[in-house]
Amino acid sequence: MAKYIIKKLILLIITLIITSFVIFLIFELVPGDPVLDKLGTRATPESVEALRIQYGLNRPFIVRYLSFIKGVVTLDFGTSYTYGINVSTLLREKLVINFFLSLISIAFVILVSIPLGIYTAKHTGGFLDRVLSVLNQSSMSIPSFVLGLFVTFFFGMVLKWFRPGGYVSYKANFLAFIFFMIFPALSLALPKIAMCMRLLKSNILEEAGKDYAMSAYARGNDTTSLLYRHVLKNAAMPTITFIGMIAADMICAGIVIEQVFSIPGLGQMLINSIMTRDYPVVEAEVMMIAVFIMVISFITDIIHACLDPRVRVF
Amino acid sequence: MKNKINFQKIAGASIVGLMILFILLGFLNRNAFDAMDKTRILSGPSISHPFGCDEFGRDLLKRTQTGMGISVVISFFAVIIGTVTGTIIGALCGYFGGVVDDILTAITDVLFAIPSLLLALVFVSLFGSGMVQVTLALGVAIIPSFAKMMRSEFKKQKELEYVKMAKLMKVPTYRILFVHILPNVMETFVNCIFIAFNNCILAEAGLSFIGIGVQPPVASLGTLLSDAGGYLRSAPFLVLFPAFMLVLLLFGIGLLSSGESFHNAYSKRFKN
Repeated sequence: MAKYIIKKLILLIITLIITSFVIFLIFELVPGDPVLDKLGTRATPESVEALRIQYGLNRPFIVRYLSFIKGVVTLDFGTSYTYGINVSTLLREKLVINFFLSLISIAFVILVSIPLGIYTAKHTGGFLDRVLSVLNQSSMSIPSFVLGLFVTFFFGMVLKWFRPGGYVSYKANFLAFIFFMIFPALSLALPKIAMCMRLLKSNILEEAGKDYAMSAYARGNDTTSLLYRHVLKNAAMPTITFIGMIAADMICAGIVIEQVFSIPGLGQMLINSIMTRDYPVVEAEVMMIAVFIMVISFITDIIHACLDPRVRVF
Repeated sequence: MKNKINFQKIAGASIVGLMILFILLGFLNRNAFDAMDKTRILSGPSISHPFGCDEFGRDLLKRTQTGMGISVVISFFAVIIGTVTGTIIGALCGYFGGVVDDILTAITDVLFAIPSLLLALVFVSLFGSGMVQVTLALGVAIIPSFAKMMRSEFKKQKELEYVKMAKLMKVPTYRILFVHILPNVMETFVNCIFIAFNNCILAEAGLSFIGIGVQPPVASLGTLLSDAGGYLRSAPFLVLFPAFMLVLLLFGIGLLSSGESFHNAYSKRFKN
């Protein structure tokens, strides 16, 4: 087990290094000069040079890359071009917002899809199963931002449960913040719930048809214990991987959802800094998202290995 | 079981067909998509303007038709770019293996770790926004998943007898790859295309929604929805009609790539 974890960890570090290089290289090749952009018409050769030195752009590529890596490790990404303050301070606030947004929607996904998936697998062809499979297909085809608009309309304007656009900072009122986050989280979660449920159901049905399930049945297990003690453990594997992928995807889908609910999160920041060519912020943010996604896939791999000894072999 | 899948595919195909008809009917629509009419600002559905008019008095039906046309055209070309490149990379990796495979797999793994919307965002930030850039961005963004899927399929097929036979008969490699193997992985291939198409429509709408897709005066479905978001209270029909069309289109494509294959596609991603 330890060997497997170490192997995965080394792979993770190598991928991270490649990723950081690719991200850094991309922003190096961008046409356009952030210094000239910032100074605009006021640019004189002296002021351009001074700003270059201030941003550290006069150093060679490799030196800047190494300091970027150092920044990633020490969580110090330098100073933002537009805001003039430390990028980490800037991102920390946004990160809290997105953390809770993702957490709430993942909680929705897990709490709703797993019981429903198990139920519909057990009662295939039943009333609820038939209703849900139609609903599933339709909710999978609704993009989360369209759903966000519907949620705003229905919960915000018809039922008046929350004020559209009335984002509350978590510093001001934590409970109100969480309550507001429920609605974007809901619109993020619904399509994923449908996918997750469907995946779990079809996996359970697939596993239930295998020989070991048959022999467990022959030994005198009833359907319930067959399901919970034998089948579920194997059927859960792809679902766990999928939930890991969802968690990674949430960050990205969040970019669009933030726009719908006007939440000042990572997404808005990313779009703004792309527009203003604030590269330290963009680099830090893209890198952070990539790290986040890789760490999640690392964790899902480990969970897999814990649950299924067959994975550990290679 | 077989009948059910067929039924699904027929339903999906007819919905997609209807949507394409809807787009084509736009050419018969006399209203220009950017003609403004002060007297009709935010007016509701009527006979001359079945979908109503937007905040500048432009006909929403025509705008939805052109918008959807743009979304479909962008996604179509993006899928072609992604499919061709992804299949070639995947085929070469899966078939030859070795160092090239290792390197390319590492690169696709890295790209795979970056969500496609983010990849498209970065791409657009580098080359500016516009139809061509968005198409390229989406095309590039779907390459990794395509390459990954095709690689595992080709790797599996490579071990089979008929490929070994063809090799012994000295069939040229490109012929083995694209004439012998490709038809055998057609099912996955076609499903991948539909899933990719679905994702492209979604991503394009998302990009335009956050304002970095196609630029005004051209408007895709995402732009329409994002503009309409501000009038949710006074004119909810502005959101309803484009959203309904978008969802219907995605629903049709979703039916075409049937549920089973969706599950397979996702689980295949993890079985090596």
